[in-house]
This record gives sequence, C-alpha cells and structure tokens, in this order.
Amino acid sequence: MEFKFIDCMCSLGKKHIPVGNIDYSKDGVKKMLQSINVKRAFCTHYGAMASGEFSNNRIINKTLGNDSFFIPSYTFMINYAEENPCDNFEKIMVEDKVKMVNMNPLTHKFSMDMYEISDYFDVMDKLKTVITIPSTSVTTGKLSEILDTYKNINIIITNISFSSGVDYNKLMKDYKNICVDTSFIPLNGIEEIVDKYGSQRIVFSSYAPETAPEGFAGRVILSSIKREDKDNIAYKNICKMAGEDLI
Amino acid sequence: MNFKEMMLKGILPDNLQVLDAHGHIGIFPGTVGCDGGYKKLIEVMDKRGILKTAVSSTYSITGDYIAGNNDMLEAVSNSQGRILGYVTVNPNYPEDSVNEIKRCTGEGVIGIKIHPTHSKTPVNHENYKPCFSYANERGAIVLVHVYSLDAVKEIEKTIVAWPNAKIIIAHSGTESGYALTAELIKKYENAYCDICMGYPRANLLEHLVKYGDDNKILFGSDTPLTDPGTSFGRIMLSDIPDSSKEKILGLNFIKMLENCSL
Repeated sequence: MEFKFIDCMCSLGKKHIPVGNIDYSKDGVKKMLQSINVKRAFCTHYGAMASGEFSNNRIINKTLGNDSFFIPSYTFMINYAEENPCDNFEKIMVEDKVKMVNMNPLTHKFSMDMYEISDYFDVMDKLKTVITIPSTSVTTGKLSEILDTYKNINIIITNISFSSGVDYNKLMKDYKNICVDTSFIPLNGIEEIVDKYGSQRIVFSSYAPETAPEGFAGRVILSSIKREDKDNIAYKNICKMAGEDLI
Repeated sequence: MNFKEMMLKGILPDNLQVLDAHGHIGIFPGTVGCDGGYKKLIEVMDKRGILKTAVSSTYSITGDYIAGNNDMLEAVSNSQGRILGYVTVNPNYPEDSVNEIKRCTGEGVIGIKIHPTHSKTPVNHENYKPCFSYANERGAIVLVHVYSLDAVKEIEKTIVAWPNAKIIIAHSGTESGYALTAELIKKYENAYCDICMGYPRANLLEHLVKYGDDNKILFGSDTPLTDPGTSFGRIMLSDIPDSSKEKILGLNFIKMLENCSL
C-alpha cells in the first residue's frame, strides 16, 4: 500500500524576499506536495506572517478559495493597538474554525512571559488547538509551564535540525501533549524517539516550498520502524491531534 | 515501476549500490541527539542499505586535527571496509599538511577534507597550497565545505588552479550557490558536488542534473548531523531519471574511488 502524508508545515503566498526559482503559489506548492502523495497540508501564508495583525491570516482563505487540499494554519500575532486583542483573537479562531496556530515569539515580537499570554492560551486550550513553536524561540522551562497548565492543547516543536533549542527529551518524558516534527534530523533520530516515547510523538512536516518535501518524506519511509509507526508519523498523529480524520 | 513509485510503496530496488561520500564520526559542538561513533554509523548504514560511508572526524575539523584524524583511522581500520576516511588538513598548520596526509595514508583512506569555515581560512589561501599541490600530483579527492555563492566562486579558482585534484563541492553551495555549482561541474572535469544538507533545498538536485552533469553529483548525508535517510529519500523521491539516481546514489563515487589515489 502506498504511503500517504499529511503535512504539518508548509507555506505559500507572495514572500517579501523570495528565494531562487521557487514557486510559492498555491498551485505550485500543491503540485510539489502531491507529487509525493501528500493528501492534505497545513499551511501558513507569507503575507499574513509579515502583516502584524492576527486578522490578516484571513488572506489565506482568500488565496485558497474552495481548495480543500490546504488547511490554514494561522500565525499568532498581537495587535496592541486593538482595544481587546484577545477577544478578537478568540472571535477569529471560532469563526474561522482554526485548528492550528503557529507561534514564533522571536519573529513576531511577543513574549511568552508577557502577563496576558495566558488569556490566549486559555482560548487555545478551550478550542483544543494544535500549536507549532520553533525550537529556538522558546525555552524548555516556558514550555513546561504551558504544558503544566494547559492539557487540551497539542504542541509540535518545529525547526529543530541538529541543535534543538529545547530539551525535547525532558518535555516528551514529562508531558503527553508535546511532540517533534520530522525536522529532527540526526542519525537514527526518528528511531530513537519511537523507541523511547512511541511513534505518536513525531509528525511529518515538509517545510515546502523552500525545502524539498522528498527529504523528510523519504526519511520516514526509510526509517527502520514498523509500517504502522511510519503511518502514525506520516498522517495519523496529526489527525488525532486535530480531532478528525483529515483525509 | 520507477524508483519513486517503488519508494512510495516502501520498496527499494534490488542491487542498488549506495555509497555516502560525505559523513562524519564524532559530533559537532552544540549538536544534540546523535551518537557520533562509527559503530552506530555502521548499524544505521545496515538499516538504510548503505554500503560504505566516507567520513572525516568532526574533532579534526573543529579541534585537534591529529587526534581527530586518529579517530578517523580507528573507524576505518575497525569497519571491515564499510567506512572510508578523509584526512582533515588544518591550514593553520600549513607546514604539517603533507606530513599529516602521508601519516594517515593507508587502506581505506581515500581523500582529504578541508573546512574553510571552521578553519577561518578561505579555500584559496596560500596555506592550502601544500595540500592541493600534493592532491594534484596524485589525482586525489579533496572534499571542501562550500556553503554559499561566494564560497563557490572561490572554489572555482581552486578547481582551475589544481586540474588534477578531484574537488568535491560539498553541499553544492546550498541555495545561493547551487546554480553556479551546476555550471562548474559541467565545465570542469575535476569538479564534483555532493547534495548533503539538513533541510534539502527545493529544486537544487533537479537543477544540478538538468544544468550540470549527473556523472558528477554525489550522495552525501552529513551524518551524524543528518540521518542518511533524508538525502537518500530526497534522491529516490525526486523526479530525475532513475539512471541519474543510480549514478548519484553510488556509481559516481565508485568510479571516483577507482580513479584516484592518495
């Protein structure tokens, strides 16, 4: 049976500083992903990410139209000029049925220590949101605090490479609702995580369109774990986190 | 079924010869989550279907080149031919370059590794002359870390200056440099490249094949920083011809090894 994937991290839209000869359009990214049997993909929008207002994430819905291949992942931003930014945040999350939020404190200039961050996590906990956080933009301690308090969110640590900023070992040992994605790349890395914590603790992310999706997909296929574990990583885990069969 | 179709079904072709031209033993400072020992490397090579991996020692690149090269020699001599070695040359000790290469030359040691970034010495610095002169006399392989367009421009001068040395542009200059790398491997007989990088760049491999020369591209993983499954999968799932995949995965490096000496 063919492998199939659900991608937890890709992007599309007009990038401010594009790289090389990459096709950032919806159709270009979709073609790239479908060529390796990605069935659906959570995506952020480059324009939204650069805009500074959470409501601007809605540009992605305009871009996607009726195309259900992509599932919007909204980028977390706070517009301090708004009177009640958290109320607005909750309104948008509910109206748009947002399943995934991408939080990057370094890029989007907010602090995980700020007093009111708990209000936003209260909303996301209520909505059982999946949250992606780059490994170098948050500390292990802060993630521990968040996970101690909020049991209904699921956190995916992203952008890990071979020098993770967080102690993923400690976090995955202590908390069930945190995992890594396939950007965790060291030798035998997937196998060791599966061995220690189970295959439910990794999800597939392509980082398309700038990263070739063949790399991390191939890594999953070639890993020396059981087929059912590969399928968990490839698509089943994210379905479970999102609370529905996404394919 | 072509290789991509097979791979999506979880099947690997029979008799695929896979050789990794760019790996390491040891771990770089600040890296997490990997065992850099040669025993673990061989264990994973067996799982992934990789016949041989050519390694340099990370410690030789970032620290004591003599002690690190000794680690490389230990791995080579204890691997029953599965691990090949690159001797790392440190341009900050130019007077010792040739001595060190000669000291390490032996069964299984197949080339020279230089890392201009970690050595803080650009590849065309005169301190590399003893090393390149030696490699040029012998037609030896020199694997050079090249991580930007500027670095690719620099390496072109080296390729021209030492036409008998087989120079591998490691990482193909990544996203800023791969277009020029494609030109160089097409233009110069002694220029090669490998495709190892942690996050494989989109279009890089396809561009190298289309505009470069698929006889000059090598599979490399950068292990243990990156599991070889990433680059291996990148090649197998790409839309380049299967004949190119076979060359890149191993046939090109086999041919290089047959035609070089240290």
